[in-house]
Amino acid sequence: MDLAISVLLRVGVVLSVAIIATGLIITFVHHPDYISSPGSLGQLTASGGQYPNHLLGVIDGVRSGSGQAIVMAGLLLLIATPIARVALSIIAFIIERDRLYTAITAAVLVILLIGFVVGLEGG
Amino acid sequence: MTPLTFVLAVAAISLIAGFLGSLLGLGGGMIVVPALTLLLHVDIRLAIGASIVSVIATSSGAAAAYVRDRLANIRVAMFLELGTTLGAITGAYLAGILHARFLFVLFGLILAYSAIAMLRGRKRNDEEIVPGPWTRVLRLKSSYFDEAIGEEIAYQPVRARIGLGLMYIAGTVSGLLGIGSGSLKVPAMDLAMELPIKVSTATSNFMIGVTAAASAGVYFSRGQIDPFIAAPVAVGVLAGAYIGSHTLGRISSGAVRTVFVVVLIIVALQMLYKGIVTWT
Repeated sequence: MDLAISVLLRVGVVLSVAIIATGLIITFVHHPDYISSPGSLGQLTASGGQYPNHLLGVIDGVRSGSGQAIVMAGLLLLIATPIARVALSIIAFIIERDRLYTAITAAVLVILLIGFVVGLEGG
Repeated sequence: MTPLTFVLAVAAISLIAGFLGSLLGLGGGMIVVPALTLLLHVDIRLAIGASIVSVIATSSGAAAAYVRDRLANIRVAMFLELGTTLGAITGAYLAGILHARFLFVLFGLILAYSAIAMLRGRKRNDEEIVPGPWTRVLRLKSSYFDEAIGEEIAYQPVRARIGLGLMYIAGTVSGLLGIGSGSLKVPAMDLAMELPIKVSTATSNFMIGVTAAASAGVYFSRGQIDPFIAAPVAVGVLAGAYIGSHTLGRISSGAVRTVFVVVLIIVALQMLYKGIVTWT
């Protein structure tokens, strides 16, 4: 069980870093002025900037090759990794026939998913 | 500053945050938030969004090693996550209502309190406390191999129920402030449950990612996760957490505790100063 969790975390982390780094590089390729001119920084780091904040927006952005959207997809994968870790733990506890911890972990996953889904919908 | 130098600066700060965060079970958020707001003048709400990402990155990045080395106690973590996840949802909703300046002061006070609690913890007398029925039923007893002294250390957590209650509060604070609230989790495991300090920081590290993920959806849909800020944070923190997680086993427990207290005091003073100055 420990090994499975350890491997899952490592895979999630490595994949999301690769996607985030790719998105960041694409952003700079599309906007060469970001490398030399300080003008656009204020706009990039201001509240209410031009980047997707819902799932469909991220998917559309990735399809059209937007660097910011690819970064966001990588960030969402990173956010999903701990949730996947909890889901994997449930399976491991079921296999070990540990009812108490299957129940505890399942309760944690339900709370997590409620928080995540309600958050995505309502904000 | 151009966007490129901004990204490099954020990645460098995040590398340090990931290293210290993974050692101390803090998630690095408490370094990323002040660095982004005080040094780089990023809006506090976007800094909090970036720090949620930092917390998740530190946790997943370091926990892979901590779980493998049995420094993190998975049963303790799973049980306490009941409290932290419920609290995280409570906090994330309260955050939309409360004012940014108020958050600075609250953040500072929480950190100052944690530091004092940890200093006191050093002087506590080591009376033997018999673990209650919860510890037995939940099978929280465990051991780990301490590389620094070359010995297997057995331990039994006590006061599991109080620990669970404190974790609900810690979860609420982390949802509110976008920090992993390791600053509260580590003292709670250290002072209330009497876990060894390295087990406390490693287990805190394992847990904070889940707590942060519970509230990350809310921050994402509110537009508080800016990819241009969060990308260098994620990459830098992950690199730092990798280094940190391969360091914790080898350094002494006393050193971990001392560094923890020092980091808390510094950041608490910074945030209180910022909060009080902007207040007037």
